Amino acid sequence: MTTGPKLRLGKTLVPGLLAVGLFGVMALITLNTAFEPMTTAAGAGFPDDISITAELGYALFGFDELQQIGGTEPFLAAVLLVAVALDAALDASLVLAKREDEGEPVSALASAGEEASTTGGPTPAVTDGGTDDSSAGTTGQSADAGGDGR
Amino acid sequence: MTVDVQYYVLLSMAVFCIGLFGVLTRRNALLFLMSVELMLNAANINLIAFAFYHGNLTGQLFALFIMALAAAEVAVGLGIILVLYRNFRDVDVTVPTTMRW
Repeated sequence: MTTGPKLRLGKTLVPGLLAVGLFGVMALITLNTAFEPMTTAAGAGFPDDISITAELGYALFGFDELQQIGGTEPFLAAVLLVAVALDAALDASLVLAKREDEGEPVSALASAGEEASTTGGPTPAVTDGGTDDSSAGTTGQSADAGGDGR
Repeated sequence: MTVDVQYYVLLSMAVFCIGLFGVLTRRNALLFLMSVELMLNAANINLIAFAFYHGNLTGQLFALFIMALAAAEVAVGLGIILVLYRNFRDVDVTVPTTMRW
């Protein structure tokens, strides 16, 4: 059962030789490629008196006329697409985090609210999302008792 | 002092191959996710190094987009791992076999 980061040694490492071999081949190719040195390459580096962050911002939102470093495309459409993708990922993670409790779907962001304080509320969830009556129940009761005492 | 571009390429290859090594040898889904992140970040190193090499900001912007997509991937990946653990009481990627070819 894999529940924690366990280091597996022995035969499971054999496919990893493929990665080591790939690194060897790629390193050989890189070291035999004649890259120009960074100091003498044509157009290498950015001017000292220009804010790179500001330039990135202008390029992200498509303000071409404000840009001082030439040759950067406007990325406004890509920014909007990434925004939609991140939104979809957030929704997907919420859907995946939903669990079923006795046939009823329980949302990950559901709040037990005031019911919990009067009736004891639903069974407290343990960290993996399931319910564990033995441990979670006792901690819930002890928390209630502490609240009454104060 | 400016570091030459081939050393950046070597670094990114090393990071990529460490990620590939993790994907090939590990069975824990969380370590899988970390290895994929390493491979994505190897691409980022290359993009930023060559953006500087060519004096063009497009590579840096692409690296930003890759970071955003990596965040989306982690959100969905962690959700899948959560469901995996809930259904199998295990995060071993070799246990769920029903969706295999």
